[in-house]
Amino acid sequence: MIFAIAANFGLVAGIIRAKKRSTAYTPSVLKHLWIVFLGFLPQFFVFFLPVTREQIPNQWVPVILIGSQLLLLLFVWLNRKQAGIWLMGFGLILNLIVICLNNGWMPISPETLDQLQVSSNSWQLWQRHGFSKDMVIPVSDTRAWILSDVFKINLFNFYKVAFSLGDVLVAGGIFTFLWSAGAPKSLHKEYAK
Amino acid sequence: MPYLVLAIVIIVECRETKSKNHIVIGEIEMKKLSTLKDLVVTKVNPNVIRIAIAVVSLVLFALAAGAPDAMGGVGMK
Repeated sequence: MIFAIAANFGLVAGIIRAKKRSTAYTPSVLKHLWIVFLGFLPQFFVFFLPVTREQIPNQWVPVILIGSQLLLLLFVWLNRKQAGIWLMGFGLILNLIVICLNNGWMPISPETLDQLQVSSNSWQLWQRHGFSKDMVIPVSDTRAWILSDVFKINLFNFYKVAFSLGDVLVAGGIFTFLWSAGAPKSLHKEYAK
Repeated sequence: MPYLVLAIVIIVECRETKSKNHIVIGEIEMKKLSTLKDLVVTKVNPNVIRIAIAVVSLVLFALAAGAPDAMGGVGMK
């Protein structure tokens, strides 16, 4: 949801910016987009598609997750001169660091789950949380705890989410990229430098 | 929600290209075969496609790079 909010706000703010300056809203051309699709595809099967995610053993998840995020890192490097991409890359690196330090899983603490009022029947210590990227690990055993899913949003028990500092930076990068598309053309060149 | 915003963008952009389409439709009345191709090309503004591709790619990137744990959503058994 934080990504959807960032994309919506970025898009709307960028369009308003372009309209105010009477310029066209033109996002920069991202190179090698196929890498994003290639990076997302394994995660789609592991985390999102119900038929496949139930079949894939948990032992494979860290390898797939880290491999796919390394591909995204390559995409960031190839597009590093675009506005916002460096911020997305920084967020990705922070997530990758905490995931690598915790055996290929994003740690989430029992305290965070409690604060989000998640039923204690739905999780166990040292077990994967549902089909997510998260592993329930006590704070005392979490490496680089500050980079794990420590931020929480609980909208009237309707939507609950825990997210990391890396996620915030990725969302910030998306906003910056879409917002900068509404800049005057001269600024587009500046951003690309 | 992102799709709603995207739909609004497409409507706004299509309005801006309306005048171009009128020219093409006028040419069809003149029975120029080549304008049929032009009509197909100008009906979808390339900038709209560019915006759509950028948004979809960014969302896919975020889903793969980020790791928010949505309780009660995809993260639950």
